[in-house]
Amino acid sequence: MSSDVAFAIRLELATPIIPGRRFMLDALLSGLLFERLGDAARAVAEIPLSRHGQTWCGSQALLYRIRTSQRFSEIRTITKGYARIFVSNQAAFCARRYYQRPPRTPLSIGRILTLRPTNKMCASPRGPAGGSLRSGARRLHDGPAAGEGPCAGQYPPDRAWRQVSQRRDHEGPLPEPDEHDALVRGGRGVVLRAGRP
Amino acid sequence: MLSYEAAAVWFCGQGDLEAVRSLLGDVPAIGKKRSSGFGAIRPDSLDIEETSLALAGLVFADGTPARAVPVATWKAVGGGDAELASEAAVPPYWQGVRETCAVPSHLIVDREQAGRLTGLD
Repeated sequence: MSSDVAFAIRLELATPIIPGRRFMLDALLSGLLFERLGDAARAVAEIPLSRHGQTWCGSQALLYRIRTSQRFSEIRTITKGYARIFVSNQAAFCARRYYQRPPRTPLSIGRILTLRPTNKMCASPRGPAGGSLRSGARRLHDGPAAGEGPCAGQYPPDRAWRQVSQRRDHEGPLPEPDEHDALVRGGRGVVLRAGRP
Repeated sequence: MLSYEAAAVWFCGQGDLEAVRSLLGDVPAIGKKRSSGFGAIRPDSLDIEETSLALAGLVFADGTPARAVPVATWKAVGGGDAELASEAAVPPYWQGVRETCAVPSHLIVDREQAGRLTGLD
């Protein structure tokens, strides 16, 4: 036993308390330390109380001047928009604010399918240098530089996408692209294939 | 879960008084369901006083256990007859290994009893 001082603590309450099975001072202090430290092991080790063996010298709570005691039970939950209200046998009180995560679309997950017009448009360059979405999609099909890529001279630029779509729809699968046909976009390793006929 | 509409909560203990005061100084609420408004502490209501109670935090002034104390420790500190129960004696209590402990018999007290048990009177 160390030579620390003995003390008594009194805390006045503004609302009813739910002490649980046993509400002890060392548990309260370790909880407050955990909020500051974020480390459960340190929060227990640094409780500023003396120990007798493995037992901390902190008493159980004594409840003073009880007016009523009721069994707390959650009766029902009312949800309205982003608000949630618990209605118990004692009171109605607000729950924590929450929000519902919007449903994830295939594009937000990163699942970009090949040879889909929308995917190619999303992968097109944006901003002043990239021009419009439609022109960006065309640029992918035209090759690295307009008029100089592997597709140069074979199709007019505005017909490139239509030719690829027709091949997919009517002539079976496209031939395997070579390394000039692959463009890797973004950090997810998504390969967009601008098929060369 | 039982909720109690109490005016105050009393504890007693032994340790670093200033560290305890700094930890409890800005605590907004205690107990379960704190985020739902239960156990709110009145501002500036913390009152800590030194006492002369031997084994404060383990044994109340009337000789009954002040907390769940393992039977071996309870015998070592010279404790008398007490109610026994299987309890977790070291935090975190929701995770701890249960053992046979001497458990307190006081929970709801009046002002005189609180002062007498914690060694203030």
